Amino acid sequence: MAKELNDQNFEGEVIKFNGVVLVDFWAPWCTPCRMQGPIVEELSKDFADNEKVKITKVNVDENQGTAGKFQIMSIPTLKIFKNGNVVEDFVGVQSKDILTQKIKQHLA
Amino acid sequence: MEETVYDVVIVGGGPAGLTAAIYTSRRAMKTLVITKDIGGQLSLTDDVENYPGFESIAGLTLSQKFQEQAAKTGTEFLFDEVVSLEKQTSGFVLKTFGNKTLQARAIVLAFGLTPRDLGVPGEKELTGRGITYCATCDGPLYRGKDVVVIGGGNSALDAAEYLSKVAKKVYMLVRGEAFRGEQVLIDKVKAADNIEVIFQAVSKEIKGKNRVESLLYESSGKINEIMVDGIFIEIGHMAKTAWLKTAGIDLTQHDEIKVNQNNETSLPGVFAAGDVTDVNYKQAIISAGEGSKAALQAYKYLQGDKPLLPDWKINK
Repeated sequence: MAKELNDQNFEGEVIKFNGVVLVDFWAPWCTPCRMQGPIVEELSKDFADNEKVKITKVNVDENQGTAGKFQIMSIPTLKIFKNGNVVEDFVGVQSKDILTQKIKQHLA
Repeated sequence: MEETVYDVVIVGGGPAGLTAAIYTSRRAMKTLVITKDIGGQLSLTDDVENYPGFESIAGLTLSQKFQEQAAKTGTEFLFDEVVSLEKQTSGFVLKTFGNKTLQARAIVLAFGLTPRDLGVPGEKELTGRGITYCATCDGPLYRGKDVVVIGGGNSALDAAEYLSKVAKKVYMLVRGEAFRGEQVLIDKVKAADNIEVIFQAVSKEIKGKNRVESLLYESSGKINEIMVDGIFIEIGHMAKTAWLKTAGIDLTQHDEIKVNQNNETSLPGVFAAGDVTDVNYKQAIISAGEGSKAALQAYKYLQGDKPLLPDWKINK
């Protein structure tokens, strides 16, 4: 399962993490997010054994602090963080291939 | 993988494309669907109440059912966008945005319609940063903020009415001097006290550094600026078909793909179905029907005189 993050633990889980984190910013009312969700879950299985990778999601409705900080204006928005810095930024549904490729690229 | 030659590559994953896939796969044609999403416009429809067999079903659920059925019959999927199509002696070569090259003996084009863009400076740069084409997707992110809806038809009226319940203030910029929508929706918009409608206004530029800050528009010869956090563009849909012209596929003056009653395009071996064609009505059920027609015609085209071998590998 992709790890659910919130305003309280985002800093510790993402910003202070030494490695690569994928964050899926989503909300229950967003239809395209329901297409993205299963793809993110698949990624969490694929990278389950890799300690350097975290696959996470943030409900922007419940965590408006984090959503505001990263200026999420359209969802799904996906961001890849490396050692706490944003290195990739996607708006709209992204394929598993593209996300896998980018995560691996930033692991290298 | 690189050497694979598909019997049919279907471009698009909405009702037309997925129905075509079910038909071609069931006829043992090796089928690949290349699409950016599943369901297209249908997936964004909350309740579908005119698709026989389902009294009321969410558009996304119906789309996923189409996909599951296609996958069960053997259809493969590639989530990508096709950028070019070329006819070669033995078939077709497709290239994708993700740099993949695919070969097919026949093609079904069924990629539907795409929200029309405004075509003003700042739009590309700020899409997803305050500019959106889907009010129901992104509306709640603008709670308590000022937004503008551009357009004067049903989808724009719908968006403005919906946003008036979420946002603080909703501007509506209409190009013409009146709305072009249903009276029920117009009345709702007029009744909302936080919607301000500006007629005969032409959008000129979207300004903002990292996110939308304002919109410039022209009205009676003067340039005005409104400060907004969100811009919802609802000016209809277009067929994104420019890339097909070089392949020799005839389009209508509205850029829709011209097809005959058997869903054949002007290029033999290339078929088209659904909203992207000049079909009269844009409806899920019609697209599904058109998709099956295109698939059957593609089958007929490939079969020629002899029956298609079930095991496609033998042919190659």
